[in-house]
Amino acid sequence: MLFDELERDAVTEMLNVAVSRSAAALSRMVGKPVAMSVPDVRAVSRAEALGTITGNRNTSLIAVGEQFSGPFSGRALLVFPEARSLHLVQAIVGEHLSLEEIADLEEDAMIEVGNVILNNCLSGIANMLGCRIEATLPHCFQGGGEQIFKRTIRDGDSGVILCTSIAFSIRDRDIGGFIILLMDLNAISNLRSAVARSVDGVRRGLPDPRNAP
Amino acid sequence: MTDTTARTVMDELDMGVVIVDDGRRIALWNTWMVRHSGISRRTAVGVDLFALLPAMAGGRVELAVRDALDTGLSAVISHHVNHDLFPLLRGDGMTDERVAQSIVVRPTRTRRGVGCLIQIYDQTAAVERERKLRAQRSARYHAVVDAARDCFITVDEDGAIWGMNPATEERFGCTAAAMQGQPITRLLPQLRDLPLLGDPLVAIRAIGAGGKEFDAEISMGSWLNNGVRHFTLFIRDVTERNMAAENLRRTERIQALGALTGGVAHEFNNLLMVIRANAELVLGTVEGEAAARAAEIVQAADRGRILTDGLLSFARRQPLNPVRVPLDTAVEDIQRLAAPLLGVAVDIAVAPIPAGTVAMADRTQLQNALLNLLINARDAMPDGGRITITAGPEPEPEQCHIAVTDTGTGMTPEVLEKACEPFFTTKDQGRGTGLGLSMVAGFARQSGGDFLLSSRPGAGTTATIRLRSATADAPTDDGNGDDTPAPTLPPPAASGDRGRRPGARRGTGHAGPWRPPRRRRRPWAGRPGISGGRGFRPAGDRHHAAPRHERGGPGVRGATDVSPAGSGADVGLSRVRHDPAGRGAPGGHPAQALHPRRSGTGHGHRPAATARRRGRIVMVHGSEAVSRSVLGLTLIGRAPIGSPPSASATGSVPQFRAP
Repeated sequence: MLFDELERDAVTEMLNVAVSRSAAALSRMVGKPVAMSVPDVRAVSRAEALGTITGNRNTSLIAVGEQFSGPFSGRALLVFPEARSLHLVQAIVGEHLSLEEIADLEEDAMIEVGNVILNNCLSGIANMLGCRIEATLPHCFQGGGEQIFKRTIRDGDSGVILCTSIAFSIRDRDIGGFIILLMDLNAISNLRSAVARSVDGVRRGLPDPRNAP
Repeated sequence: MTDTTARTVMDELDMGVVIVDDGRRIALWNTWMVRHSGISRRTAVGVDLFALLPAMAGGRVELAVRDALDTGLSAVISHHVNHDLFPLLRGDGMTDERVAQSIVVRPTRTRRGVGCLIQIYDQTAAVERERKLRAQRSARYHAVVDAARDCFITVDEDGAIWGMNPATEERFGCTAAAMQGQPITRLLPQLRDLPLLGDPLVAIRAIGAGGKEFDAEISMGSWLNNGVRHFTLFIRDVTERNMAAENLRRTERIQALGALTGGVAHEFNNLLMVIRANAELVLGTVEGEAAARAAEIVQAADRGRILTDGLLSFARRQPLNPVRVPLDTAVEDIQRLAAPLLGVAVDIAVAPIPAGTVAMADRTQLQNALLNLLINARDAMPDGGRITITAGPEPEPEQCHIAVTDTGTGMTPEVLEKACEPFFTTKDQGRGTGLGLSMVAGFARQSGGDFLLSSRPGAGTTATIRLRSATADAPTDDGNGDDTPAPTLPPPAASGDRGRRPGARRGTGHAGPWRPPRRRRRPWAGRPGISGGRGFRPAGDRHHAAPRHERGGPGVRGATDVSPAGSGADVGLSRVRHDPAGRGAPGGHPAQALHPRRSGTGHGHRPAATARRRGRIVMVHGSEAVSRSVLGLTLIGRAPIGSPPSASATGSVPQFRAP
């Protein structure tokens, strides 16, 4: 077990705070309430991560990825089944657009949504570790799970994959996706010690996300 | 590259460049920004970006700037998703529209340390181009889909609705806006099993607006949009098509049945005639038990003949002799003929018939048909009621109609549909053969008209025979069939009639243009001691037969159905012809002979004649032949007007056109 239960809770809580901030940002963008939650975080193998995001079905996925570097490095991915992503985009850009128009906007909108969510997660981690990280501009990937992983999380990559599902609720739509974080071993050990240090902080309670700017 | 060079390059760029320091103060504000924001560099530089542009405070750009400064993260920001980006106007001298911008925010370094680079791209031209392309692309699509009367629905692979055309909104009573994102099963619950999506053709019973059911034929197309499978459902209402197909199937079935029964009946009839003729020969030569048996053979053959006549009529293989039949006199005649049959509980009323309504039809067959309809009407009103006869010209030229309406029990749609099929009857076992209406329909069609039934449970039935109107030069049934042979319709199956016409003519010399032979008549006539000795009158002897007509028809009351006169003797036939008004038409006496099973009701003699009566049996036959023919009727199958009443009366009166 990579994390003990408390540490896992702490990481989960940290990501929840991060996505709550994302939700606040998206909510402002959309002009409607947006709720987002991260139920749990698990350390998984690449194959498990792949099985999780594809649901063991040959569905088409859309992923937004960022690469980060600094004191720790790795890759962050936000993955949606493509059909869901269209709903997400429709929920974000508005119901008045037709399917074709939404499909045209899909990549733009997904990159931005992914950017908001991943940046919040990364900045949450960076805050927790008390360091700066540099992240690239987000890229969009489409295709099957294996195709996306080939270009983002390679077989030979060392490191640990943190995988969590993420549930959106926008305009009465519930849209489920996944966040995949690939971190190198250095990042994971830093994270573990940072988590340990901040467990107390977690217990005291992090700032209320609704008050976040 | 010197600072000056760098600044010159920045100012030359066709995009906005802003750099802020770690205090969010503007360090660089390039010329493009000056031009499109209307804010001079002097005003901008050194000022907090979000104090300068307070509308952007708290927005997406501020968050991105914060992430870039605090953590080192980059962001892309699209005008598609955000509405509160930089307040920039195009300022191209033509329009004052806002610049559609996509923004990249990334960390950078300034002389003072951490900074943030904001790049702003003008997407207005691209947006306009996309809009035009999209409009062009969808114009043809919408022209087709929005004008289509069929339903078009687009769903994704999860079955969520993405769009629908106006026909769908109308058909299902919903709006596209309300249904967007909803599962397709809300409109078509049968598509619950998603594997159905992708089937090229699905036929289901769908429920549209107002709960109205219809047969839906759904063809599906599937297409990929950015890797996502979508399905377009084309939903067509095929209710009418299915009904037409069902009608066609029924018509074909009846036609096949007609061809079969017609062929069999024809051949069988010939055999019956041989049997009957020989039995009569035997009857003339034997006494006692043997004679009684021979008489029974004769009677059985007659009953068989009645049945085959009905079948022939249904199969439209009855020879017809169309003449001018003024409908007013025809109705008058049938009213008088039928009165004794209808009983006291049934009123009969005749609506005024426009003078000069003259149909072109076989008079005898028309009377058969009408009598069948009247009897059906009577049977549909077990507790009495009113029968109304109407007749007159049709709106279509050259057509007229005659209709019989009752106030009886009516028919359910199911019964109505089958009413004209042969052997279909709702009457009790043994009370009818189910040939009545099929004969009427067969006669109407063979006469160049058609037959319609309209009925509703509990609301009575109207049976309408439509016929061709007679032309002025059409032959008149003036009662002299010998002198003015009417033009005839050729028999459909000539093969079965070979060599028969001469026989018919031999029989009476005035059998009309042609008739199936009545060979049983008079093969013995010339023999002394047969006809005379037994005191029977040859069927052809109408002078003797005539008085019997005066007897009226107590026995006929028992008769239930009427079949063509063909089975009767030619003398009867010719008598009809000789009596244009049909006034000689009597009730006749021989119900028991015609309808043996009913004779137990006290209206006549037992048909199974004993030796005591055997002489009379032949007489009965003879007079029966006469009276029956004069009536133009024999007794045959019952049509099903008298179906049980049902509470499920609907608003419209279902109609059935005999195929």
